[in-house]
Amino acid sequence: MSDHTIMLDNITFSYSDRTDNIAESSYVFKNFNIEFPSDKVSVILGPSGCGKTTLLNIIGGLLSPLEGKVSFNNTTQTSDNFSILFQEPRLLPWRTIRKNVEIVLKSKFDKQLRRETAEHYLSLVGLKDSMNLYPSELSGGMRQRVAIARAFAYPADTILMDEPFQALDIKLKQELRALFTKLWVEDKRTAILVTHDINEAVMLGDEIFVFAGERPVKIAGKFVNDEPHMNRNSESKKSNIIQKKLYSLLA
Amino acid sequence: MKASFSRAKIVFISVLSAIVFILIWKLVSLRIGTDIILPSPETVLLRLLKILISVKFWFAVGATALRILYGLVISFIVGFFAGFACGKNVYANAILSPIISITRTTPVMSIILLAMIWFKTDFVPVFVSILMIFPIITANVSQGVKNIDKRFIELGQVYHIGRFDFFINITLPSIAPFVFAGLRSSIGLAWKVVIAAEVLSQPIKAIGTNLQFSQMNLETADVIAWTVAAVILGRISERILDFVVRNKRWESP
Ligand SMILES: Nc1ncnc2c1ncn2[C@@H]1O[C@H](COP(=O)(O)OP(=O)(O)O)[C@@H](O)[C@H]1O
Ligand SMILES: [Mg+2]
Repeated sequence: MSDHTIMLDNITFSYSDRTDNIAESSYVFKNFNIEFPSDKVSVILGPSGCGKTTLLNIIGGLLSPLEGKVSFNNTTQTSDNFSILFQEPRLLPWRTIRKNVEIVLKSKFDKQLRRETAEHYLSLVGLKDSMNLYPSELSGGMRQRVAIARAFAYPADTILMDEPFQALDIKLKQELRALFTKLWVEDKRTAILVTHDINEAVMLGDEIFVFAGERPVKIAGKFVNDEPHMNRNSESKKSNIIQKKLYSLLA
Repeated sequence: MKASFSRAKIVFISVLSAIVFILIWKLVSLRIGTDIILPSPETVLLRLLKILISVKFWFAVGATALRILYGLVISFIVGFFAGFACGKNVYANAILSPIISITRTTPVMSIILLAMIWFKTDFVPVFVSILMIFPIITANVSQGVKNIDKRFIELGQVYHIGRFDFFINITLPSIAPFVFAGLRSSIGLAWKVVIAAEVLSQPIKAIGTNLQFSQMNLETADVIAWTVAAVILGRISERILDFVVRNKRWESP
C-alpha cells in the first residue's frame, strides 16, 4: 500500500493581485499548515466564506499559492491526480449520463474499459437503467449520484468534495451520504470533504478540522472519530460528544 | 389548457392583422384605381400564380437560392474560424475587430458597386452576402467561445480532458446555440442582400434581375408578386434551419 497523505506546508494565498504590503486580512491563508491522512476521510468544517473552497482549489491545483507547497507523500503518482465532487453535479447537459462518466476516463482507459468502468460505477449508484438518459431527464439527487459515480470511476488516489450534498433535502442528503460511505469503504482513498453541516462531519469524517471564521484562516480545533464508517449512527454517544464540542466551537 | 388557448388567440390575432392589412391594400388600390401604381391584391395573386408555373421562375429561384447557400456556407466557415480566434485570443480580436466594424457600417450599396467592378456578375451577390454575414457569425462564435462555462473548464482541468475531447464535448456544444442564432438572423438578411445585389449586377438567372425587369416594364403587379415569392422563400429557409436544429440539447446545466 502506498501512502497518500497530503501535506500543506506553509501555504500563503490571497485573491488580491498585489503581493507586497497588503493588509493581513486580505490573505485567505498565511503560513498555513495542515496534514490530511492517507486513505481517510478528512472533513473541513467552517463558516461560509472562510476559505474552504479556496483550500480545495489549492490542493487540486486550480489555484496556486503565493508561497508554500502542497506535497503528496507518494512517490509513484503525480500530484495532479484528483477526483472532485463539486457543489453541484456539473454534468454536461448535451451528453448522456454514460458519456458524462466516460469522458473523464478518456485520458486513463481504452474504450472498452471506459465503458465497463462507467457501467460498473453507474450500477453501484443505482443508475443502471438511466445510463442513456440526459442530465435534464434526471432529478437533482440522481444527478449528484452521477457525479459521485464519476468521481469514483476516475482512478485517482484523492477525492476532493466541496459541500456536495448541500443543495439536497434531508432525506436525499442521508441517502447520498450512505452511498458515498458504501463506495468509499469498498474503495478507500484520501478524501477531503468540505461542509458546514456538523452532523455530516461526524457521520463521514475520520478527522474533523474546524476552521475559524477569521482571516487569515486558523484551525480552531481538530477531532478524531475512530468509529468504523459502517457502524456510525448520529444518535450514538460518541457522535453526540463530538457534535456537542463542534457546536460549542462553531457557536 | 390555458397556454394552448392563449396560443390559439395569438394565432387568431395575427391572422386578423394580415386580413386587415390586405383589406386596407384593397381599399387603397380601389381608391388609386391604376395597376401601375398599386395593383389590387387579387391581381398580384394572379400574377404570382402565373409566375409560379413558369420555368423562368424556378430557374431564378434555384440560382438565387444557390447564391444564398454559397454565401451562408462561406460566411459560416470564415466566421467560425475568425470568431474562434477572436474569442480565444485578444490579438486576433484586435486584428479582426476593425475589419468587422468597417464592414458592419459600410453601406450595402457601396459594397455592391465595388463588387461589380471587381467580380463577374454571378459572383457579386455571393461576395456581398459574405461581407454582410460573416461579421455576424464571427461576433456570435466569439461570444460563444467567451461564454464557455468556467466550471466546465475546471472540470476539464481536474479530469485531464484532452484538447480534442474538450473541443468536441465542451467547446462545440457550448458555442452551437450562438452559431445557430447567428445563422438564424443571417438567413433573412442573406435573401435581402443577395436580391439587392442581383438587381444591380443583373445575373441572367436571378430573382433580383426579374424584379428589376418587371419594374422597368412598369409591371408593378409582377414586382410585388416576385417580392411575395422572395418573402415566402425566405420564411421557408428559416423554417428549414429551425427544423434542423430543433430538439438539440443546448440548455445550460
Ligand atoms: N475568485 C475570487 N476572487 C476574489 N475573492 C474570492 C474569490 N473566491 C472567493 N473569494 C473570497 O475568498 C474568501 C473565501 O472564499 P471561499 O473559499 O469560497 O469560502 P468557503 O468555500 O469557505 O465558503 C471569501 O471571502 C470570498 O469572498
Ligand atoms: Mg465554498
